[in-house]
Amino acid sequence: MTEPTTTPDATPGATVTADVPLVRARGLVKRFPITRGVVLQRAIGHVHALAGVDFDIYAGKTLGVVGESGCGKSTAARIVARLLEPTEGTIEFEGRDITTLSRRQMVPLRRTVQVVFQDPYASLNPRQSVGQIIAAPLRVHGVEGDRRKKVQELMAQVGLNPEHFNRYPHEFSGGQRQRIGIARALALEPKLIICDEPVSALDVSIQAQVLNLLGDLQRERGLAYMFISHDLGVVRHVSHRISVMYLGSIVENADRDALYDNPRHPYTVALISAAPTGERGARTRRLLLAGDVPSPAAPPPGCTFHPRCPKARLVSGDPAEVPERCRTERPVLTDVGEGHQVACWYPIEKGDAEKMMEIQASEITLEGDPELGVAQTEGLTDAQPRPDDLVDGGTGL
Amino acid sequence: MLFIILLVVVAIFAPVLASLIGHGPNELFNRTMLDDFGLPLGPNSEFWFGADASGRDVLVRMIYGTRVSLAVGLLATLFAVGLGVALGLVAGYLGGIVDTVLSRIAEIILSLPILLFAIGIVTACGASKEGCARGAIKPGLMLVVLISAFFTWPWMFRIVRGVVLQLREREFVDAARAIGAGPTSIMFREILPNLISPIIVYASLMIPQAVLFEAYLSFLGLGVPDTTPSWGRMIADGSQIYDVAWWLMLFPGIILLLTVLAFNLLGDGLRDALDPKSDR
Ligand SMILES: Nc1ncnc2c1ncn2[C@@H]1O[C@H](COP(=O)(O)OP(=O)(O)OP(=O)(O)O)[C@@H](O)[C@H]1O
Ligand code: SF4
Ligand SMILES: [Mg+2]
Repeated sequence: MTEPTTTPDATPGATVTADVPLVRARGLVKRFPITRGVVLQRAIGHVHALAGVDFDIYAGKTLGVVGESGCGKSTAARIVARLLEPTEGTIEFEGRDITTLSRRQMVPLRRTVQVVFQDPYASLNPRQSVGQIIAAPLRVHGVEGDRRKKVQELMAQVGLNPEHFNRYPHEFSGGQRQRIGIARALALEPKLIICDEPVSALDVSIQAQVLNLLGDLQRERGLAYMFISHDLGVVRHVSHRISVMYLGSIVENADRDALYDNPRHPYTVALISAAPTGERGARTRRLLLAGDVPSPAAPPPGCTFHPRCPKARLVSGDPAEVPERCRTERPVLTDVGEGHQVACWYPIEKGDAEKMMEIQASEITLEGDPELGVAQTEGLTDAQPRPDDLVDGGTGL
Repeated sequence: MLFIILLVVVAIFAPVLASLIGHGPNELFNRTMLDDFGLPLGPNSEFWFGADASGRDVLVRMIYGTRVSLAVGLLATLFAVGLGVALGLVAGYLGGIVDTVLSRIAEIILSLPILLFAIGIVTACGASKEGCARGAIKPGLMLVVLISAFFTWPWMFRIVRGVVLQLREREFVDAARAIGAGPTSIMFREILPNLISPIIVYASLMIPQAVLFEAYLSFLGLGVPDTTPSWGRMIADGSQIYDVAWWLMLFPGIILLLTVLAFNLLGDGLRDALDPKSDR
């Protein structure tokens, strides 16, 4: 994608500061019942959308959340926005537990946490004018004063023509609609905006503009973002700190540069190697994952990543074997230094990436199994396996 | 559409039209319009649609009948739409036990043999002037309206509930919740405006149902009293002597048919014009 011009400066020290985070999520679990039956609904199982997730969001900083489709990113976002009740776990806002607040008690807090949604078509009411949409938060919270003037100021700030407040959403393009959504989120001057894939529905050229707008707003207003995406390039661009999710768990938490320069979880390594680097001509060898993401209704025991984990196979020394510990014990997020946390029994060490590549290359040449090579990274169609990619030398990792 | 406007105009100006013709709706012309055997005379230059068995002008009675039919049709639909939309919104948006209970009630009402029930109620309540339920329910136009509304609101309820079930999953509803809007505000400000087209379409299809319903009840002699001219009543009266006075049934029958047809066409037209796919 086009490289946007603004890049938030990474502040590695941010995570070790003693101040209270804006949001502190601990042990978030969300299970959705799978029901059967029309009259008497019986739960016949559960989707484990979140299986115990911890993260912190600091004022003025961006927490990026990456992971494949269905790994629970939106669920986590919706819980922080209090659109969804967690099954277990707590959310603290500025040190105050807000998990059990009623809707009415939440109303003042709503001013400080706002959401920008993924789909700029579905997230704006087609029957309301842009002015009504952006003024809605002001109306709900009884903000006095000249609302029309405020709406027009907001429109100007997000790069919309303030004269267009009487128009309806369908008269705008996707990028403009997302700006409307951003203006609505800004109306109450929040401290945190949760952006759930705010650009993935947009054209690549438009994506950069919207990301730049978000970056500018962060610098001007000291906003914090929880920024969700399955696109590593986008997350890298906007985040100070990144959480990598897999099947309802956070598998790695690190400051941005630490995560990209020194990924410690095998899944992160695979994700990074599957992402296009953006540097032209740089052939990246891809570490490709075997099989599909398991169903969150029946997550594998032990480490949920073990059926696909290349490092586990490296440890066992046998491509068909996984160490017992990976199969039976669930790894918890553990500090590996400088605020870098990883949930893995055998975190990646220097040189592991090359060895994993070799195992993979030998498997592919031996078995010629194309199935093995399908990268399960959504939206990256160019990550399809090509044998020369795997065997050729490259600069990746 | 033109026909419907014409009907409305006729209904509003019924007394004016009657005075232009020079006959009142209950005025008896038994000297001029009944023959020696007491049978009514057919259409002539003064009585275009002939006279009925009591010697009253059929045309003038039909003009007044337009009032009854439209009033019943519109009022009954208004009540049914109001109830159906409100309950449909609540059931669809809140879901859970509220939805289950309301949906069951709607299903039960829809599965009742409407006509049978209506006849029962009207007979019970219409037998005497005092009505039934200690005078709370009196026979007459309002009873017909209420019965019709009672049996048709589940129609609207089901449609509204279905659409709301889809709409509440849309992100703009989450967006409204995220800014702190409460359920009432979401139902009426966010969801209701998106229901306007289906409501209009189905309301226009419910009007002819109510018109017909009034005609059925009046035909059975259970609707409005004889002094209030109504198409159904006129058809019923005419059916007793149809072999000597064909005009008594024919003209009210045609107008009833045309009215029902016109409203159905209007509904279909509106559905096409307001198709959500075309208004995106
Ligand atoms: N309301 C719900 N009822 C049942 N299951 C749900 C519900 N919402 C989400 N899930 C399931 O929970 C899991 C996590 O969903 P979630 O939307 O959080 O994923 P995601 O990471 O945001 O994915 P995507 O990238 O596709 O948006 C998925 O398996 C999904 O099917
Ligand atoms: S715990 Fe084992 S299976 Fe899980 S990621 Fe680490 S090495 Fe792989
Ligand atoms: Mg999502």
